[in-house]
Amino acid sequence: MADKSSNFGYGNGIAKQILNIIFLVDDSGSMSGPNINAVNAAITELLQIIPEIEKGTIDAEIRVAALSFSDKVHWIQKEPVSARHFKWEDLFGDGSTNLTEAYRELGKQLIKKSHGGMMPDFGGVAPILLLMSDGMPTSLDWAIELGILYQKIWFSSALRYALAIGACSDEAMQVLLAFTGSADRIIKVFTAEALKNVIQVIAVTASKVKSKSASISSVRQTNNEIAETEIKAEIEKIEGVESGW
Amino acid sequence: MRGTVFNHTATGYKHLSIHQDCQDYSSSFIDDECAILIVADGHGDPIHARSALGAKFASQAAYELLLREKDQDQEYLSKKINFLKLKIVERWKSLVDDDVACNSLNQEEKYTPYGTTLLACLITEKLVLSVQIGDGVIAVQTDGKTTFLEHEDSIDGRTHSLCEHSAEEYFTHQLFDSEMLQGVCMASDGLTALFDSEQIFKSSILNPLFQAASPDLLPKYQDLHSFIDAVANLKGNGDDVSIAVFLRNGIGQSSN
Repeated sequence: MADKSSNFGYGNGIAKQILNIIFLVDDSGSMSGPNINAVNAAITELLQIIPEIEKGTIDAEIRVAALSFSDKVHWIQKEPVSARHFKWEDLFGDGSTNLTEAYRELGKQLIKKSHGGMMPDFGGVAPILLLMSDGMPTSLDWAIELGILYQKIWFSSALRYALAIGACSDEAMQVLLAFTGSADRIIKVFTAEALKNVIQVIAVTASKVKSKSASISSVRQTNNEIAETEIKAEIEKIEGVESGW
Repeated sequence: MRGTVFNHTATGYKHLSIHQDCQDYSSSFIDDECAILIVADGHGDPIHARSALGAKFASQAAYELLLREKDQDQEYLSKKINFLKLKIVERWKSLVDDDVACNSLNQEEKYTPYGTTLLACLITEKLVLSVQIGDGVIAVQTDGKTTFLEHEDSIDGRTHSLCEHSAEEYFTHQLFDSEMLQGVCMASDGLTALFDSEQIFKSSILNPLFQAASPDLLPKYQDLHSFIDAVANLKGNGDDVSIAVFLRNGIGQSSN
């Protein structure tokens, strides 16, 4: 409160802007074994370093949410929370790849809080969306659901990356391209170490750039564009990675 | 005009820490026939280095143009609204032109340094007319119910601005009967950014403002004044903070 006797207050309001990092993890059978183990390890390690990132990003508080999808979708953490409060549940990989339902579920959250979603009512920092998958969705109408997602401002303005884990077919890469909207934001990773490093580079770099105050951007690069350039430069240094497609 | 108006702008922590002028500007006006509320939020970065002046010019332009319409009815204004938006932009540009001439600025994009948002509201016994370009919110209380007028959300700091080409096309407006109107509150994003939901903003700011009716509103306004100063000093967001308020059950006090 500004003053203990004041009629006005912050309520449960926030003093910092919130930057949401949302993971969409393919937990289907084809991911089982080394691929899903690498994802579990990479996200667990990222959660441990996020508090360090926040010390350098004074303008934003990082919050994390995660959705896994196979036959069904499952929010590992639906309401974004700080990394300290995030309890990652190890995934094991089983079932089909229902990307349609994952997109539908994500769409329910990428709307204003006053409409039942997770995004702030008065604008804020666009989220970072990280899709991790190794293959083709088994649900056929994922493109329709993705089209609906693109109509949501919080999706279209999000910084979207797709991590192609292991060997991905051209068809599967087209699916990831539809999600990111840019081949430069599809990263092929071939080792667990590479996956860990790529996730950290995206999260750390994007958080630092996107948490900076911005103003009208019609005459300058957007924060997403700046982040993308910096991420690309960092990822080129990582072994076991193929950037772009 | 029965009612009272209040406005206050406080320089944010970020600007204070680098000795930069406040980039927001607010004003309020009331006379026997109408009330006018204005909040303008200059963008404040190096590309928009003269946005403090831009915000002030926006306030002047909106005040002049809205005041001329105080005797009009809804039918007339609904037909004229696009012309009115254009006139506000043109008047703002003319004020910038004068300043550019005075300061010998010679820039290709001469309006860009003055970039600002604008929220403005005309209130008469017959109607409420609001116009807005860029972020910030306008909330009204009508017949005991508080609602937010349709507003633009700034995502990653991107917002529409008076300095844009064809800026008049990015204005939104609302025009409605004022018979049941009890209050209007407009705020820059320096205030709304503290709240991630409309519900919390309502319970923290609007409900105390609209509901605690008092025959003497001065203590309430002094309280709000202190609160806005405290918000601006928060290190978390640190943006400039502006608010402008009209309450119909007031004492007829004006603040310009």
